Amino acid sequence: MNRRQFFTASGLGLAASAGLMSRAIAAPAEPESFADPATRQPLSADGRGYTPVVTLNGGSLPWRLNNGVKEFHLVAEPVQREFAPGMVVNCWGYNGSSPGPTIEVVEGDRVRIFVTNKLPEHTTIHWHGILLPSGMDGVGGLTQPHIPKGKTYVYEFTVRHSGTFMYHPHSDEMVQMAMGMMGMFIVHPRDGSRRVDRDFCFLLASWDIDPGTFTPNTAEMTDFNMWTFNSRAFPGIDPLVVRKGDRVRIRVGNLTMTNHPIHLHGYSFKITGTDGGWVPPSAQWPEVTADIPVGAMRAFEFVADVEGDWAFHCHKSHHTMGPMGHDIPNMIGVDQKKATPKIAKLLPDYMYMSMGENGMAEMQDMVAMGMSLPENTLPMMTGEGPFGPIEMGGMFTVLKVREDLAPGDYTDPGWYEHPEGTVAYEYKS
Amino acid sequence: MTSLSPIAAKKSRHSKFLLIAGAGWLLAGCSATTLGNFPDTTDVVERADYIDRKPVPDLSDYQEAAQARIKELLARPLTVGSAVEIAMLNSPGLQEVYQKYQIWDEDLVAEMAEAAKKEADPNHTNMDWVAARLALMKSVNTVYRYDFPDEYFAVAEDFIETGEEVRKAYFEAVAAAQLQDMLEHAATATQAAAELANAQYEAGTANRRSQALQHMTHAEIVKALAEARLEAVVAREALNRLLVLWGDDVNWSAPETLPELPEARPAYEGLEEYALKRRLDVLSERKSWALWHTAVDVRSEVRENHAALLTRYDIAKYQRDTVLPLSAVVLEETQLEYNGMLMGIYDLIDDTRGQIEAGREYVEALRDFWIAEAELSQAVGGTLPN
Repeated sequence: MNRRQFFTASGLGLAASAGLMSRAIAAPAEPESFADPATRQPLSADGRGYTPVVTLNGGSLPWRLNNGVKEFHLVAEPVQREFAPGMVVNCWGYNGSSPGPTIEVVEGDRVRIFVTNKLPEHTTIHWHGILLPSGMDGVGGLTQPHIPKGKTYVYEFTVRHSGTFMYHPHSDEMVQMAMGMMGMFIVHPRDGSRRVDRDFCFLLASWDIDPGTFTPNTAEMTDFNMWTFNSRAFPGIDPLVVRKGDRVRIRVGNLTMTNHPIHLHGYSFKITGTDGGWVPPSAQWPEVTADIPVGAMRAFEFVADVEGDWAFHCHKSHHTMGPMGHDIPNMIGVDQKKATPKIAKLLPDYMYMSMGENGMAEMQDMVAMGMSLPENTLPMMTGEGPFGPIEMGGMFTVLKVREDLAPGDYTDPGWYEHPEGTVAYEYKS
Repeated sequence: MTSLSPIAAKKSRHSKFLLIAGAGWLLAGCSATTLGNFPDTTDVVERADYIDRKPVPDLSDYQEAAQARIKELLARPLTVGSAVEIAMLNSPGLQEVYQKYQIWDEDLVAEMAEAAKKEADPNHTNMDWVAARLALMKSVNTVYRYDFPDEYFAVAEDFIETGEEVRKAYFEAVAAAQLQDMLEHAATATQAAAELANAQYEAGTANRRSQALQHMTHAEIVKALAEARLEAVVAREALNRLLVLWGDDVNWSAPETLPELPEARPAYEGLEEYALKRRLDVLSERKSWALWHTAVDVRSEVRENHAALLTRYDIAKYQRDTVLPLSAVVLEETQLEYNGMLMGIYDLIDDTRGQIEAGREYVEALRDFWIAEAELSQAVGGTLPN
């Protein structure tokens, strides 16, 4: 008899189960679907003195108050996520979406989270960074049984600290995270401190989705080809819309297998929070790039006092690209005019063009001209701006700062209209 | 019909043996082993009853007419039918027959040309069969009637064997030229890759090793192409020998591609019985035990050749309808990935070669089908059922 069998046989395990089951818990609320990838309006703070977060291309999960306990219902399930127009991915997620909806509470809240498993295998949820009883930590096998498929488990704890956290499976974790299972967990301070005017959050994820396929290859550990903010790739990522003069917080969590130097143009900011809590003002230093380590979160803040369209992206340049071949020959400066007619003659039904001699910028033009790609595959570089092709992809979006915005209005204001004489121009002698 | 004692006697002896051996099922196809089953032989045999003393035709008249006809046939792209016709006119063995029986007048040439025109499908011509028939019909005036059947069989077998050899050589030659042509495309592809490697090396984006590897790949194709060119020459010369061509006559052209695979799968019913009624070795065998043994062999050969034909057909069809489209999908997807800079130019060139290789395999399969058909035709006695 091993230890586990001993405890079960002695009745300790049974007693623990019986204790849980004896509680009168109403059935969980029907889960709301987050399948629409549009950014939702923030939830109401109900006058509790905080600014609710805006989840990029997602939203916060509504709760049900039950005898003073905030009840949430997450359903782990296969979902389809549009990364950007032209590409839909077979993911696993929560409530119709990868990432799952953001859970947003206030420090000191008692929360009860129902987790229904509609995946084809077992799962758990680990509340990453939140301080809670060990048995609520969601590590399958270590602190709880794995949640079998078809079952609903209940997590219940009191949230003791405010800050920026995440949730994700700790059960076949590598596969389930590679399939997109993750969500933000935001805890606002109870005392109304650290309040900002606009508070954005999103998660970083990496994917290996072969050109022409629809399902991530979960066995890939290093050579990923898709890089996303909240399972969206540029130009599928909504802009961060901000009113001039607003104090802005951006919270970023990293569930990829590498670090991401997230760079904001136009501003310097201060790192005000990590997944360990808030950074005291004396320890905050100015940055223009927040390096987000693996499995970590960062919150950074600035006052948006300069209008404009400001690029906001990971600074690893291949992370701001769509899928690209990493084994293609280097054609920079390679004169291909001798070989080109031969290849074109061999492929009479194909509009062959030599590529790469003068860089890769021509690629966006060729795709724009109608050159086809494998199905369900985004171009390596894309996006049209007011001055031409933006030639980006992946982890790239725009912070749009405007004067004429109402508080709480997150509607995309379109491209910035630059005051005369403030745009770079061609020199003419 | 006049009673033909030698033939009738043979027939009755066979029947008797069959009863004794109790193997009626085996020789079922032989029960009507008479020359009457060889088309128009009734006429031949009837005409053998009298001797038509025609003057011996002039050698040069035949040769003139034959050479004129051969030139006419060579002026057009050579079909398998015209190749067989040329062989019938030009083969030294057959000319010996014509001379022996003194039948080489220009009428023979004209009659063969006329018979060839009647063939609806140029790929299924039975010119050898037709020529044998014509030659034999013309020869009766000189043949001593009791010896005639043996002579007849020996001569007709010469025609049919020559016809089979010519058919096979024709398909070998057309296929070899086509295979060579396709390999030229593959060499163009590897040459383009080698040139790109040179340009890469000059631009500083590939090292000597990468450059050399591309050239090694090209070198392999260059050697294979030299072999293919030689194979085309060998196959063409084999046909030239069978057609007895020399001088300017060897400059004939042939279609660039083999005849298409027939729409219908060539599954024949009752082919064993059909062969037993037509195979000259069966028809000419006089000894009962030997006839029985020959029939066993013939049945086996027919089954084997028929199976070979069906397999060659299935492989060629599979290559054409399944493998070639698959290689097209691979190439098309590579093109899409090349568009997106997901794959490089060398991948595109490799998959272009992959499609060429699949095409070459189809040509080989198609060639083997036509050769199997020629072999089966021979196995059933010279011509397949319609």
